Amino acid sequence: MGRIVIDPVGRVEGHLSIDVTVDGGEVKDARVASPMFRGFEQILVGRHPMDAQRLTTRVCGVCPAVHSVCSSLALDQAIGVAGQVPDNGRIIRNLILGSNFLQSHILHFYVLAALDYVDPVAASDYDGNDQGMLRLAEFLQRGKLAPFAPRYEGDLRLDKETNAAALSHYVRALDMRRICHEMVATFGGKMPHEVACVPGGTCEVPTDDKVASFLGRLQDVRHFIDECYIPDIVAVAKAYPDYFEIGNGCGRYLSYGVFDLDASETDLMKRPRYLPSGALNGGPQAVDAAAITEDLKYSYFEDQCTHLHPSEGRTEPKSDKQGAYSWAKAPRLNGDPYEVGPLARWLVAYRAGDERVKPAVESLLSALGADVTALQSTLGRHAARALETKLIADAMAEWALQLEPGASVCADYELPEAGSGTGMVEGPRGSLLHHIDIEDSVISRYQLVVPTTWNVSPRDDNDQPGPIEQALMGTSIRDEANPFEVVRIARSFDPCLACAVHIIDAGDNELGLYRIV
Amino acid sequence: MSKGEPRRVVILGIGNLLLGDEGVGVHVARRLAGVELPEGVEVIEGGTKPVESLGSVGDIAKLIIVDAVAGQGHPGAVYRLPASVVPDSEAQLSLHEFTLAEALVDWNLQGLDETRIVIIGVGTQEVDWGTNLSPEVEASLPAVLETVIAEAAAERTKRE
Repeated sequence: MGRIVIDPVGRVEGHLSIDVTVDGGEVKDARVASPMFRGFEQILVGRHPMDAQRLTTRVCGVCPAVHSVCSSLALDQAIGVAGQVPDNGRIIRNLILGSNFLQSHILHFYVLAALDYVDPVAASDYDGNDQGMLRLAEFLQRGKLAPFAPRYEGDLRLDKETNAAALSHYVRALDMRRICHEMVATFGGKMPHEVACVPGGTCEVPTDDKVASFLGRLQDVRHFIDECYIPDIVAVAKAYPDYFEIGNGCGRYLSYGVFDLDASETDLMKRPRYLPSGALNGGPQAVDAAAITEDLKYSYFEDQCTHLHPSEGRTEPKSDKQGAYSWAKAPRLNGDPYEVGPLARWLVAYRAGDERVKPAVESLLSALGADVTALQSTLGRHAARALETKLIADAMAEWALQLEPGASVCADYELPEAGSGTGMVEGPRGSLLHHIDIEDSVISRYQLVVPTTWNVSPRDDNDQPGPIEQALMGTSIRDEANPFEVVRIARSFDPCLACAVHIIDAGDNELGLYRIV
Repeated sequence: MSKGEPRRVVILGIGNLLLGDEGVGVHVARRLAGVELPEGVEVIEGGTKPVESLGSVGDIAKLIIVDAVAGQGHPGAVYRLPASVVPDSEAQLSLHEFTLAEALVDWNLQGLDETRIVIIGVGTQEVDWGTNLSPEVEASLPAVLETVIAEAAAERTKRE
């Protein structure tokens, strides 16, 4: 019986600690822990309601836009203008959020995940004409191996040519991140932490110049997705087909839907969205927002706050709680764990027969000679993320042209002394919920149930493991000294602990036997 | 990536404004906003995320980074340092902790090599919670501004 501790898992982003028990070459138990408490929910209490969007967007510098949009959706309701956001405001929110999706997905694959499958050190003898590759080779020749090493050895399978292409795309991806940031900034003023999304719509009035500048940049990103991202995903999928069979997860999937196509419907789970809302537990179901709770039995929070709906939710830390192992809460729908993220969104849409998602999935599966069940896997998550990047980028080119320069972007309102609202929308990493209560003109309660909390959640009050824990349990580990399987499965969920955790507690930060950095 | 001869001259002030003298680079960037600079010199507040503050880097001819330097007992001292003094990027744990070391790798791969980067460092007294500079560092600001402006002016003169 062996124990492998991996801390942290994120290569560049997020902190996640994984503790797996291996017996006979198989993972018998897995505990996924988030080692930080952040306290955004406490910071917001007692503040002006208009601070909510400005502060919550700072939950994360990688995917700030979805917090901005979700907070605005919660405030739309609390203020009483849900359903009155003008089309311009709705579209600009979509374009800001969409641009951030493109950045986040591309960054995740190239900077975090690809290095599990692509060998950067192989570029050290490159002698071709690609400027980015030549710089990488020169960099490696000087003996600079970070950020590409240390790493696990022994299972990098791409042929030299495919590997070189992917590496050249890694360098180009750094530039794509800049372009996507500029797209957010075109309508959002800056990135990270754009300032255009406000309750009622946006404070940014579109102009023809801005639309043209946005579309020019989007075109560059669409080329990159078509010429680099999608082919690289296919190449990795062909070289590592066994990763379509492992890391399956909990088998339940949740999406709140994202990109409002019509903002007049006030019930967000019924609002028409480009990617639809839904839950899969066996068959497809509507999302029952009232059935969402957060369990705390294994989380460092006071037990009397457990199993509450976010509208009743309280965040009371207890760092010395016996039996607890994570600072993440355990969100559950009807008491069950659900996976969230691109794969969940795509399975929900696929099962609903979505006219855009279905053909895209089928075309990829036929290219790979795989069937739809293969998607519920490590590689399935990467594939769904790549297909989604393309779908959103293509749609944004149409949305930008639907803007009416000069027309209204925001509903009129006066701030009420009291009110409450719940924003629900998908971010790059999955389902995000913000709940706000306003009393005496200040925020009296603010609760966030963020995507990564769903995926990295610890066991719940009924001892059911979280989605990543379940994805790891039962996995065969070929070489305990190089547990590739564990890190590849965990990274496929694109965990981002910056938002999932609510002050670093150095005392709890156990150093691993192995470090992946 | 831009074509032709790189021409941008950029002063980038970095650091954490909430940690006293650690934020001196940002304080310098803000002071420069009220000072007449050689024509075409950009001033950017990089805060704690330098990597994403420069936009496209291929056309940068000179990058002047202003940052706090861990004290050798000389608070307020002004240093002129090559980029090579920055320790190699190692444990990249988080984009939220993406430091100058990681930014240098990123910039290098995108075509901004270290020969075009100079660091103007300021020795620190107090790196702890607070938004004010220590009296020693505050007193050295005129000298820091003068050094940074001279560095930018020398580069402009070279290009004319």
